[in-house]
Amino acid sequence: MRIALASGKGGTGKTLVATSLAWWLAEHGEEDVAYLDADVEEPNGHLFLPHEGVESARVQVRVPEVIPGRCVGCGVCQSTCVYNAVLALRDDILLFDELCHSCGACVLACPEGALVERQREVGSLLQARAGPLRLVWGVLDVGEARAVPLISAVLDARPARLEVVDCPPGTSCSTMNAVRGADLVVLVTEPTPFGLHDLDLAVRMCQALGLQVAVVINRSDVAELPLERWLEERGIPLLAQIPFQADLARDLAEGVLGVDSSDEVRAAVAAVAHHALGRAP
Amino acid sequence: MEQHIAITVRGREGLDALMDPRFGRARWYLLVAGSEVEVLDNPAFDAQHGAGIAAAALMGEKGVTDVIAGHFGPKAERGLAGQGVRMWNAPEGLTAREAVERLARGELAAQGTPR
Repeated sequence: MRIALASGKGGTGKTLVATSLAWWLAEHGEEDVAYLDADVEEPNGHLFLPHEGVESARVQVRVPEVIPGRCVGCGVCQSTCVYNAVLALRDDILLFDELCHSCGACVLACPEGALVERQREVGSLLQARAGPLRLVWGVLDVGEARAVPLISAVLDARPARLEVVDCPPGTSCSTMNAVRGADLVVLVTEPTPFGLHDLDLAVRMCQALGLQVAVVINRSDVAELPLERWLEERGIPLLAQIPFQADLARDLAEGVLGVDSSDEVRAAVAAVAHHALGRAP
Repeated sequence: MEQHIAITVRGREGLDALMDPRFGRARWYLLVAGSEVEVLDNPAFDAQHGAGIAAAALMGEKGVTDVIAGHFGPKAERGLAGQGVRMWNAPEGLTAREAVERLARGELAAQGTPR
């Protein structure tokens, strides 16, 4: 089973809920639990989970490369590429790796065999153990424009019986890739106009992808928005509400896990677990 | 060789159109070759990625030798330079006519070095 934590808006508490949920599940006797941090542009879940035995591997994507002297300037490669990553010159090809989506179409299409594929490194895949919990996270190289291949590497690193995925914010390619294959997407939001605006986008993204959604409201008492009614109208289950707590904020700033700081966080992740598993862990 | 000049423009009214400072995301280009003037659509102006490269390819297809814009991004610059197209930076607020006149008088700054 895979539970993804997403939000739309950044900073709503995805990592708070994801790290707490993963730890709580492992601590409550669930076997083979993994925390997968798919927010590879700013992975920070591992900071809350003291770990050891870090294994690191480089992740590569395939990009085209020109074999000198073979290009006749026909331009087929350029017209094949839908990402504008290929520019055909008179007798050479300019390749823009940062736009390449590794589809390989230009290599297949070239009638002269002037293009081959080579590997290009885009980031690192890290794995470690935090007590009963397995951690997997990705670190995208600085300046790298596309996170999707590394997110895929994090999701596919090693299957676990119970996977908790910490997704990047937003509703772009990165997030859509991070929620793929999730049996349940838990959207963490806050009752502000910004939170609601982006929650709406995230809900529509999940519906378009055919994914089950449920919601946790964090900092539930900071504003008076009719969020509960909004969710009810759409038939989206509200699993828990976590009020703002200065003590919790202070502990999180020190790297303390949410479930070790707050009864409300413990209750929230228990509710999420119960909803996801259909039973008490 | 005769100069085929492309100027990024914000309108379709010809030489009196105001320049668009952007190269890859300009809506139109005005092509000027001697006394001939043509408005060229930029189909990639709202491309998600790689508008500059697509625009550079278009310049190559049209046989453009000189492009005038406010600024060229790094990918557009690589694409244009690779095709031997000269790039010229114009200050904000010029019309296409003023840009062409300034180019002729040698008053525009060149960007990059064509191959």
